Amino acid sequence: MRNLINTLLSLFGTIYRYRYTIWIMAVQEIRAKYAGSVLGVVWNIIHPVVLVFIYWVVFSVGFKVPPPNNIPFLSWFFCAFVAWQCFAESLLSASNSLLRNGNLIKKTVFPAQILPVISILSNLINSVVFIVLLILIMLIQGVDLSFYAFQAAYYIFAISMLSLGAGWFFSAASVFIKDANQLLAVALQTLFWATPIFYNIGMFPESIQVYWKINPIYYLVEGFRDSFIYHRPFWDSPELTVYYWTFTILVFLIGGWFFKSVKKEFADII
Amino acid sequence: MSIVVTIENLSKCFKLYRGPKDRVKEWLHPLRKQYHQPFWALQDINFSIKKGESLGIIGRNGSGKSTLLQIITGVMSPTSGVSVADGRISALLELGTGFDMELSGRDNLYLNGSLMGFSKEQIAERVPLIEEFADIGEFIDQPVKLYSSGMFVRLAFSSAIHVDPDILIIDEALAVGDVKFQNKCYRKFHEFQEMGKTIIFVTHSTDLVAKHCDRAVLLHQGRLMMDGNPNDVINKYLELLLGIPEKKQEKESSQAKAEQPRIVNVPANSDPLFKEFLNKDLSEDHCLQNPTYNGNEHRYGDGSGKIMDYLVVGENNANPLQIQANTIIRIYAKYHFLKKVETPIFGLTLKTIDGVEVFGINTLFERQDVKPRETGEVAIVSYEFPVSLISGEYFVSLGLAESQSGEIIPLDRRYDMVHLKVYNSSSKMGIVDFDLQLQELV
Repeated sequence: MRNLINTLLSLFGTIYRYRYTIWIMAVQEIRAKYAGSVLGVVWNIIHPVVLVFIYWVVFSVGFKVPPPNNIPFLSWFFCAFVAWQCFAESLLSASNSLLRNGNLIKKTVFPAQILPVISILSNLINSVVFIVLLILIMLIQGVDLSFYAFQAAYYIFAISMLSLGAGWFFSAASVFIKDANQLLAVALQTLFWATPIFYNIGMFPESIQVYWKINPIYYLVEGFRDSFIYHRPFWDSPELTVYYWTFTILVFLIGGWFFKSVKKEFADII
Repeated sequence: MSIVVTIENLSKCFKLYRGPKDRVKEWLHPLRKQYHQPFWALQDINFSIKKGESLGIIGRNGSGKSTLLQIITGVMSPTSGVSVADGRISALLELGTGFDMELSGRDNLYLNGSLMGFSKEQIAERVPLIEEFADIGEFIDQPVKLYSSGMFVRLAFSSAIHVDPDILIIDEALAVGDVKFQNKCYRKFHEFQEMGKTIIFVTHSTDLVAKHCDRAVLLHQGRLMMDGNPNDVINKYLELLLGIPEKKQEKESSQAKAEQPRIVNVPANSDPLFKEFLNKDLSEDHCLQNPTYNGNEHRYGDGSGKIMDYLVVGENNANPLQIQANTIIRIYAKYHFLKKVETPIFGLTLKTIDGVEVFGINTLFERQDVKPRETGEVAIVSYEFPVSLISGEYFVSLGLAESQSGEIIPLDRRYDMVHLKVYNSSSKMGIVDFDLQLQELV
């Protein structure tokens, strides 16, 4: 246990020590995302807009899904979808960060543990784009916003911590097994449908709803809905909050410990 | 002096897998079956580097030089043993160490600086210095991917030396820059040396090691083969590079012992010194008794031919201990063949005392016709040249080899065998005396 705590402290120490490096590289990652294509920033908006449009056509126009709790389906669904998208993209890019920067690891004395941090940080800009889009849709559909919307910042933080812990694990694993990221993508696909994003957990009997709640992402998507749609603070569901953070700290410890213990072999293999 | 780098019992093993599948199989195997081939890139390396020393690391391709550097800098961890470095290391491993291709040169400087632990302000102070040294003009604000390889290495080198390192590690990289920039770099080296900083220099160019290092180590097949003064280490390296395994020498020489040396066609030469040389007893190696003989010569070859005697004639003196510059000297050498050699190669090389080659010549490269030689025959070759050198000490190496279907087999090479002390009345700089005429015209 002591070992784990030390690992955790040294990981945070490294992040603090290299904060300036992290900043430069995160800004660069964002710039790289936007530069190089003619439309630049626009692409990052077009992509989610097209997604939203397709979902709207399929669910609201095509299937005529009735609005849950009298909230327009698109707002209700997209709210959870944003939380999911932030998590999935952060995790995937963090997991890929070591292989993407193999050159740095092989040729310089580089603190590899900050690479997933940089990926997650630079991904925040995507989350912001998505949240702005969500707010626009809600305004168009006439859904009320409240101050609870600022709670999204807390959930984004929660998302980042979970994806960092998991990102340490998967990025280190992917150095040894190049397929790890493919496996992760498949797993995320499954997890997506296991999370109540498109559907309402209320459609299942109360007794089995707990199975959905085991999934820590449930806390995040419901949290986003609480913040934007139901206007509920996160402390209204203390069990879920405690569960989520226990889970996240565990993932963090395991991911951090795994990363540290295999780190010295990175330069040999990449 | 204090020690800044300590390397003890250092070994590095790479696991070679036939494919990524094998790695997973090995990992999951219940009986821990091995699917990999161990490859020892470094084995049991021991040495240390003192503060202010300039160490050259030489070795053939694949001898483990790069791995050793990666371990010293901390990029890689050793499989066993320790490598401890005391002080800030700045390393220029391969081109453009950790430059991000998409970033501009300037941004890369900030990135690199931040990795070295500098604050934004400290980096901002250094950037103008780096810019000035690299001298790449407007390109500093262009993405690094647009750089030519020359610009790349200039910026990388510049950034590496401006982080105030205690230990500077330079890989082959410098070869890319142009001559002017290289010169600038070497001047910077000397500045560093004078400041008492430690430099580790890895290269294939033995001349550079001879010129810039005060100690060298030789790596061969992952082992530390030699550690000593640059010239000795370079000689050993050249032997590895050009020679054949030493063990063969013993076997063949004992075989050929029976062959009595004899001179077939006695040449007509009126020089009494030569006559004396010619008539010397042929049964033993007289080189060692020559007053100009260098006890630290480096000798190798397969032993089926021997350089058995030599004579230096300068201004009618035999084996003079000092030679007047710009006079003509003649070196005679006796070669004894212990087997039939169809195409012998005779050669001579002159080097400065720190190992820089001044010139070299051999009958193969000169396309000079040479007679085939019978077993037991003795050949006498003369080399005559003007000593256009500045004052100093020089070594002459003599060599005998055989050309066999395009391959050069060394029979007896005696590197640095002859020690020449040259006296030049003028105090010119450099190595060669060009007989330059300097005139004040107006």
